[in-house]
Amino acid sequence: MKDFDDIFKERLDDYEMKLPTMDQQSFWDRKAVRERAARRRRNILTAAVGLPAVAAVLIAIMMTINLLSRNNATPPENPELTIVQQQSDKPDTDNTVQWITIDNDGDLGETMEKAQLSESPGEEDVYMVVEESPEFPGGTNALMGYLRDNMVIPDSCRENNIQGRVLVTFIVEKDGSITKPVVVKSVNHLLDAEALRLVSAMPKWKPGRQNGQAQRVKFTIPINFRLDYYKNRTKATATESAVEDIMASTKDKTF
Amino acid sequence: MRTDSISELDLALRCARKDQKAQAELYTRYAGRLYAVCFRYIGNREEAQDLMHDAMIKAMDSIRLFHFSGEGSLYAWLRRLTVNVSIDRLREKGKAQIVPLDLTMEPAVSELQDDEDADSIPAQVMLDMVASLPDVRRTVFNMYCIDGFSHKEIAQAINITEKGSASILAKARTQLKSAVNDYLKRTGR
Repeated sequence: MKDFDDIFKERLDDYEMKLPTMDQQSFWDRKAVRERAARRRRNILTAAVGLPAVAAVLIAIMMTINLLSRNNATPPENPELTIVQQQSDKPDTDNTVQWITIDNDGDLGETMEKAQLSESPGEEDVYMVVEESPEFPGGTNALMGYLRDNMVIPDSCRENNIQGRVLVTFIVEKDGSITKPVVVKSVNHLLDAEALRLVSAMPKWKPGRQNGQAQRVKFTIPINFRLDYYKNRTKATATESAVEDIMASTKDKTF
Repeated sequence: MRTDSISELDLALRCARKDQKAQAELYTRYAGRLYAVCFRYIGNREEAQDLMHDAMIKAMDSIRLFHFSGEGSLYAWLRRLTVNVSIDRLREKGKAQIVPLDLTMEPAVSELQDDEDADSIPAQVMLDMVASLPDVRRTVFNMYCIDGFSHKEIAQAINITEKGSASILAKARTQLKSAVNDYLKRTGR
């Protein structure tokens, strides 16, 4: 038994795997995005402390409303929201960024931020960020469910173990329809095509609103194509081993 | 001074001062090995890459806490940090996992004829074998056999019992052995 372990230990201990060539670049990008987000979070904090008490309270309300609308997926038609908007418009033009970073901890937030940063001001009347974000019918979880249920991974990708995350940007029109889907981070042309198909086939969204008016809003979503280990095996083998492990781990707890 | 010749201690000190060149050198020196560690734990290249980035960023943020104790200690520190990050991620994933119930016996595996045979297998193939173990088995095997944790530590880290850990380890070994046997058969030895 020992010998067998040792062989594995010896060979794998300091083993070095070759990284994709672009990895270092993507690492720096990611680090920079993180640091920017952290810095902004700090700035917002100092700004909030420095501003007069009224403004601070208003920002707090704004944050709460924003968080609530994120969580419950029912953005309230609240008059206070409008006041807050007007207030925060005054001190700086950077107010859009605050909207993003406040609730930015999840993946979706990060990518939305990226999309926003890379946007050129060329396209008129397409909003990057609005008071009330556009929403997939049923919310983010429903969106994930839709992607999961409708995703078809081409056989050739399965065979060649091609997987990854495709980022797709699109515009949610005033009537909720989806236009101009574009792949902004590609993995493989087959997966890109599938991502575009998924996005184009989505049901109508709830459009984004600014001051109560439906607006065209740009949106980015990540689509994960993952070839699960389990899926490649016969079902029995996978479940059997997983169950045995669980059994083994709970055996002496229960008896 | 060129960055590729500086000592571990200097490298760590300069990274602590957020010297960009030193950070780049830290990446160049260790990314590949840490990537392998992540892959060993998470069993998927894409995710391993992501995890390695997390670990690297964390390392650069907290390198002030590193105590130098001879050449090699920087790598040891980075590796431990990476292992911890990997286990954290696995634990997170474990919460969401749903285990379908279906009990069947695993086929018996013939013992390896000669352990030395396994020596001829390329490291990447071995790594892939470890990577394709089911999550729990992979974690226990990695922690116990390669990173030198005790069953007690494993039990605490991934919330199983010590006996459970030992029995999972035995299953992991059996599965690896059969993978090794298969490989040797395929390559005609």
